[in-house]
Amino acid sequence: MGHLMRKAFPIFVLALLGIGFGQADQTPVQGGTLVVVTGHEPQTLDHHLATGVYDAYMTYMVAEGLVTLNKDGTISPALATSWTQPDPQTYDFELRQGVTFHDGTPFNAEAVKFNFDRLFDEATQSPRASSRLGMLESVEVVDEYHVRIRTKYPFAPFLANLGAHGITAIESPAAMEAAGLADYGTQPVGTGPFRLVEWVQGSHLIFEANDDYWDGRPYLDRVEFRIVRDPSTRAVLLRTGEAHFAVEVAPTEFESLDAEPNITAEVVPLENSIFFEMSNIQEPFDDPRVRQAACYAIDAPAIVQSVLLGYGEANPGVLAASSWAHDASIEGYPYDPERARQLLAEAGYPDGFTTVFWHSTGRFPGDVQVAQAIQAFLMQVGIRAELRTGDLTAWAGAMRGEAPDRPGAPMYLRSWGITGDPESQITVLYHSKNWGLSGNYARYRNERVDELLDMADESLDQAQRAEMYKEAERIITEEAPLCKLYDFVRLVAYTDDLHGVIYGTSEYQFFHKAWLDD
Amino acid sequence: MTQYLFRKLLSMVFVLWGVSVMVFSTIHLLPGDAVDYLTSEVANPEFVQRLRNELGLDRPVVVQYGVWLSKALRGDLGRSLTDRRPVAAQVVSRLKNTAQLAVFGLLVAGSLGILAGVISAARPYTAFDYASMFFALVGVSIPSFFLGLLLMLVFAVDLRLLPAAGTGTPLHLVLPSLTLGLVSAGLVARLTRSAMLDVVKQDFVRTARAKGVRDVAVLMRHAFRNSLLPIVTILGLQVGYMLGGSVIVESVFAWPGMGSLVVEAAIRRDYPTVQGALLVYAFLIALVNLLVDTLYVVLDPRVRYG
Repeated sequence: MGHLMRKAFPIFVLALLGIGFGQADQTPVQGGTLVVVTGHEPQTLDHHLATGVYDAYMTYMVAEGLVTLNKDGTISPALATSWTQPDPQTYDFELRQGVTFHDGTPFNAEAVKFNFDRLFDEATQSPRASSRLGMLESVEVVDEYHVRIRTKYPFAPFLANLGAHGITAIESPAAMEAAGLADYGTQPVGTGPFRLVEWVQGSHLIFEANDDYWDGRPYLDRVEFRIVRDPSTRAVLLRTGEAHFAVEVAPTEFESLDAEPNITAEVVPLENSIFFEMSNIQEPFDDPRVRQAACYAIDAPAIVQSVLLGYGEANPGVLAASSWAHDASIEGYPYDPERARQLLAEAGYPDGFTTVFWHSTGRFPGDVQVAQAIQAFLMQVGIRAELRTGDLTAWAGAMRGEAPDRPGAPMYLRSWGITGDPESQITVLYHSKNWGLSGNYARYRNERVDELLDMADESLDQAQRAEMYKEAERIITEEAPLCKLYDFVRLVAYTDDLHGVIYGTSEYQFFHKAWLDD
Repeated sequence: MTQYLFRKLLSMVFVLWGVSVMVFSTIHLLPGDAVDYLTSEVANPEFVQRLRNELGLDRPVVVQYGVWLSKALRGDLGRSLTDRRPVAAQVVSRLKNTAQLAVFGLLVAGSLGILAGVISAARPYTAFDYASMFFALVGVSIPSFFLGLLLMLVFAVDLRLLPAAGTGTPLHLVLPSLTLGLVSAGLVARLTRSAMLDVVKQDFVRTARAKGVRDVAVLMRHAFRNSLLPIVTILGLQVGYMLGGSVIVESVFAWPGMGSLVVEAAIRRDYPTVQGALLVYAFLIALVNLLVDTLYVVLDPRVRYG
């Protein structure tokens, strides 16, 4: 852990300051092609059809929303230059003037409205519109450079949501209409710092600098993302100099890459948590003592050390430690197998029980090994968990279950990241309004928690909101619908001639201020 | 012969139909569907229901198959359920990459394997024979991802002679096709050697030698030509391996081929893509088999298909 903090801390501070890595006093160099290697290819670059963070981070190459959410939780202007909130449910945005989409058509209030209309159009079938932006009531054009957006109820995280989700990007209405729903996903047209010029599926995406970008033309001429699934190959490409920036470096490669004279490997903190949940309405996990026993049985710091080689942060809190709503005083369930056995005996399972434990493969690094470690720890207190391994689809289906009252797996490994506001994690996963299929797969229900989370939605004071979230976290931890294991970190590596990459929230990174030495 | 070809082609149609039924039922047996994938984080239940309905995933499997088949018969392989791209275009673009890899892989396997096999058979139980058969055994046994990484470390990282991975230039083709080819070359070499040794013992070879035909001519014109049948068979089988089994090599070398298309589509339960790609695979493999069968006639005048 000391090792991790040593690596992570400077970059975390830089990120807070809004500065990327590299020396800030160096003069940026114009030109060059940046080659990024990533294991994930976006499914679609139609921002309205996006399903994951990998879609969104490519969307943010070509497009942007009204506002930008920074890694420290502050909101800065993007396509909107300023905004006011005349009442808790109304936002008036003043739009940036003189901005054009890559196809030359003007950005204005009509374009903003068009994007939100298309997002919520039934024909679009946006997989995320309702889950991420369900509170949106209306978007009105006031005049060419003013829009008014209303929410159905007071919703404090609204601006953060506008800044954090690719689905809220504003793209060219003309281009969307010309391409149609079926084909727009391969030819997005936004206002962003780069234009998509080529996408060969399974191979690479090439972006070129947008000369007319409102925040100044990017230093780089081109950014090329190469899809390289194998982490060892990504490392090799950095070593040979064929790539400059590698994301999702394997923990086993990290040290040796960092030891290379011209490569720096870095730990980037994320607001992502790894945990397992238990179905609160299925025997034997409907008894909180059984859930607590399962938590006491796990030595999370040991898992971080042995499986993740230390590249993770054991954290008993529901929310990631880097979130402003994280309660650092929560102790959770320190490893105590004796206490676990005792709780099981009290709950009527002195000899333990047999259950089924679902986990994913390749959803996050080490998921299979983490699941196996959990199985081994549970076994020591008498909980015999049979592992069920699923690919992304099978595991997602098993977690969710078929209907609200028909839960799926009794126990499952899960990962979740805060996208923007803590609401996007704690409320989505543990508010009873999302009971069943909409995120609260553990079927957890607590009236006080619901009340706190609702109040936090409505309060506009961040300090107050943090207190509400912290109280909710304490109750949830006590009742243990989940056993929190650790916060997930991103491992990246880059060649030393690259400077100025900015890490955003989630797994986003921005290259419009990045440059390469000659 | 024409009649034979006609019959073969007709049976190919049934094979393809059988494959399509099997693939369709198998992928539907996998838990979850494309909607689970698309909404894998969160979605409201009504939306999930509506999407499933829109994509036709709530209909009985037999009906879904019927819809797919009637379109496929008209040459329409449909669109991907998850990214909405046309399946046919995707398969074609991936197939080009896979075909390149397979052709060059086959070239490596064929030339290296046959050469080593022939020389070993000509000079059996010599140092060359033992050495080449040892390497052939290594080639057959070594996992392709390991061989790939090894070649990458030597030629890209240490010697800086070749690009490590990806596509773009003809040089990018060298390491992946070498990896794919070397594994097959081992098999081809061992088979060529044993086929040759069988033939070399036969009377007509002794007769040729007795007539005073030069050694090389005996070997190539008499012995080798007569061992070609099993060699062609194994090369035909290797084409199948290279088309289908190349997924690991594709992954190591970031090569955008058919293998990775199918694997990723299967993870997303993107039925039309899996179905379309596997149908094309089946067609190609059936075609190669037909080609091998036809080559028998050319290579061995005794073979007659009535």
